[in-house]
Amino acid sequence: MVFNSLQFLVFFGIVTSAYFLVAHRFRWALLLIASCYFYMAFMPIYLGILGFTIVVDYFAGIYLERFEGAAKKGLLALSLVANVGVLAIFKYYGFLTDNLTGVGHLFGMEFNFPALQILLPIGLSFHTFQAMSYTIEVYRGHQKAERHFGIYSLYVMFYPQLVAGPIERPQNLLHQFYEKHSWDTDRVKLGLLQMVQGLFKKVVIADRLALLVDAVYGNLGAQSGGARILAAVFYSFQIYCDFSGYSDIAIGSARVMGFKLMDNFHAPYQAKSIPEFWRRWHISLSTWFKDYVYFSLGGNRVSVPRWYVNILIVFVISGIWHGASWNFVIWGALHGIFQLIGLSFNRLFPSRAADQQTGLAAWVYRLWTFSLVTLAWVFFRLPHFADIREFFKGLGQKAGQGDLGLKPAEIGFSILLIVGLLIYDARGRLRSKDFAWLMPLLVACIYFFGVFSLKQFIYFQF
Amino acid sequence: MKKIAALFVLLVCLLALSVSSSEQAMRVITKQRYAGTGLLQSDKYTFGDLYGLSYLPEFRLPKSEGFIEPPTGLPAEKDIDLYIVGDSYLYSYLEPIPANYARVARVDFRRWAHVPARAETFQSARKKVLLIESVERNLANVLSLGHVRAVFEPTPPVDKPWWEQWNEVIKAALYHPTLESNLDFTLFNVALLSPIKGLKASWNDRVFGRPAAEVVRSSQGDRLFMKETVGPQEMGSSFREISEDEVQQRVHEMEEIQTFYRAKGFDQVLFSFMPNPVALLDAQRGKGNQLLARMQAASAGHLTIIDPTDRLKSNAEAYFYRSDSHWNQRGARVWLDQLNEVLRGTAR
Repeated sequence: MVFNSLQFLVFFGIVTSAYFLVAHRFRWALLLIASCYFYMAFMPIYLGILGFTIVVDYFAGIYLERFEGAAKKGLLALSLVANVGVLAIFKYYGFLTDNLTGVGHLFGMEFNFPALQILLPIGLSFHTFQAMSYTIEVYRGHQKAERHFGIYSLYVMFYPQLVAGPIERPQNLLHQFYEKHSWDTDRVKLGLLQMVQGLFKKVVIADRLALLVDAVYGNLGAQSGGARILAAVFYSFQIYCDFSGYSDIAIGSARVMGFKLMDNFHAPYQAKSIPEFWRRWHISLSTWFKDYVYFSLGGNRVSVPRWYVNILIVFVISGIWHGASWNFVIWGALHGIFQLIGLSFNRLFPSRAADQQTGLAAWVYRLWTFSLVTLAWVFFRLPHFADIREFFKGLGQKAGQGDLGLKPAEIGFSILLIVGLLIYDARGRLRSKDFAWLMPLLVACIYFFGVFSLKQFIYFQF
Repeated sequence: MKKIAALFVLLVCLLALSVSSSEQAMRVITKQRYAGTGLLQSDKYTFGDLYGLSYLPEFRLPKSEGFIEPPTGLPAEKDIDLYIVGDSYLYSYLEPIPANYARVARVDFRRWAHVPARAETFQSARKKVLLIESVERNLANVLSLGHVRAVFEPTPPVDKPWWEQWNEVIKAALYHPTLESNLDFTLFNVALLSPIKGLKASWNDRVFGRPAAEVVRSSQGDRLFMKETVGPQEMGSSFREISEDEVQQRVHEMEEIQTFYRAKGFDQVLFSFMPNPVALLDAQRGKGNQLLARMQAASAGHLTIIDPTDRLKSNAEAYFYRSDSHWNQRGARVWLDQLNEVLRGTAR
């Protein structure tokens, strides 16, 4: 069930109204059943995979509290292996065997790996990471093991963030399922506004930009250099509006019921450097990697070369997390390299570090950062090396015969929307007192300017 | 008060979900919506299916409904059982009765989507003629022996692994396969909302040159066509480049169908493909692929294809609606006359 569907509108109406009608002690059950129903819209049988990780991590959490020393470490490793194992089978098996077969060919060896004809369970990387953060936090003693199996299941399966995050931490979410959330008109208004804001980003901006991006990237050979650059810039905003739109709907729908999920985006294209971009983009994932991978590798409390290696490792893993394909690895590695170049620059010219810049210089840094991010998105968007090569090869091409997917007036309108988005990102804030006029305005804009195609959210595939 | 409001929302949403999930309820609501012209009834197809997809106010044009009158002067002799597999070009315009067809004693009409309860045995003492009909844009989807057989005999169940079977059972129990479009129909398909839909359509069309996702205007702007019949990348387009191999493949499919049903006892197998309206009314908008003519040429001598292209082209403006993807009653009459000429000539 996608958030930009009528099914979700009706589902949300039923679940939210029922949530406020049933007694507090039954609410966890209502939400758990609703979350199962929500997930089963994609592939019902895959609920079994979720069930497997839930059972493993539930018991791992309880026994992690009882064990000490090597046994505790072993149990954590077992739980992590179970989680990563599910990811490995469903997400990375094909990638791994394809590459091993390719390498085998180079050395004249023939491998015959059995083919697994399976679809990737939707949102697998998200809920697996959320489940892993629970066992790690229990292991570290930051979180008490959850005894209530239903509540723990709901922590992994809570429908607003089940398929594309935000990837929550147990300290933030688990206790909220025990709290009694009463009706709060201001909070409900804010939640609804945030949902509608997310829908606006998705159907008015992202899906409109997608018309041009898909047309240009789908027929690169016939496109001019200008069209390619425009598509690359549009894709930067498409993926931002698509994913932050999803996060807004997720956070907003949880907020209506009284749950506070973590923010996932904070005006990422206002960033003056790549490290700042990552503090603003997909915050729940970047902090996950920081907390559980980067710090575990030693963070920056190691020698400078090792520190650089740690950064590269984290970004490459982040790339692989997004998808089992080399283009994602390159995308991650590129961000890692940009980060290292930035760090070296700051060490050599401390007064010119991005954080120190204001005024016009700050805007130059912002533009530079945006250009680097956009360059990296080209690798993210194009899965095949031949397409990537074609993209860069034709950048100097003056004329093109390909259809742009949008007429000039709509390209102009799209640019206006992007400018509006950037201004809103810099200054805008939702306020419940604006609900009376803003809500109907946003709904009308969504209807009149929305591109309704039931296009999936990009991050669902991860 | 808040509890009452929550209860109200819950009941409305539950009602919308249950109605949209029920085949029976959808049948009732569809019948009611198309029964009249009130504000709470549907005008989606009253003015043509392309109007219903685009809601462009200038294409809110009257459209004649109903079957055409049976032709006169047909021979009294009735010695043919006619089996037809066809689409809305036929079932919306021609009543499936013998009076429409020369020498036909019995008509068995089946839509392409028909799912038979049991296998048809084709028992008859009369001559048996099979007519396979499709519009050009759907040719690639339906023209195969498998598709034709699926209309006459139940498809044997595919042996799927247990998890896929379970998956299908659970999904079918929880989600109606067309739930999204059912909800759209239940909640928003009323004439009351048409002016708002028209406003949005006009904006997109005039400002962005994008009338609707599935529809494009003719070069002159005075007609609508299905986008899938126009775009050079679309499978059903009259302007898609089609190789000679693909033409041969289509002919091969027809030969397979003919051989199979001749072996089943049919005396004749006829094929008839309706040209995409854009190929007749706006051919100059691109380089046409001439698929139907090429199929006709490639199959000359061993297959009977009734191609109405030339007859329809002679007065195409009069044979097609401006806001519908089909021909009108006059167009249907042209085709029927052509078919009856062939049926009259069928060997006795």
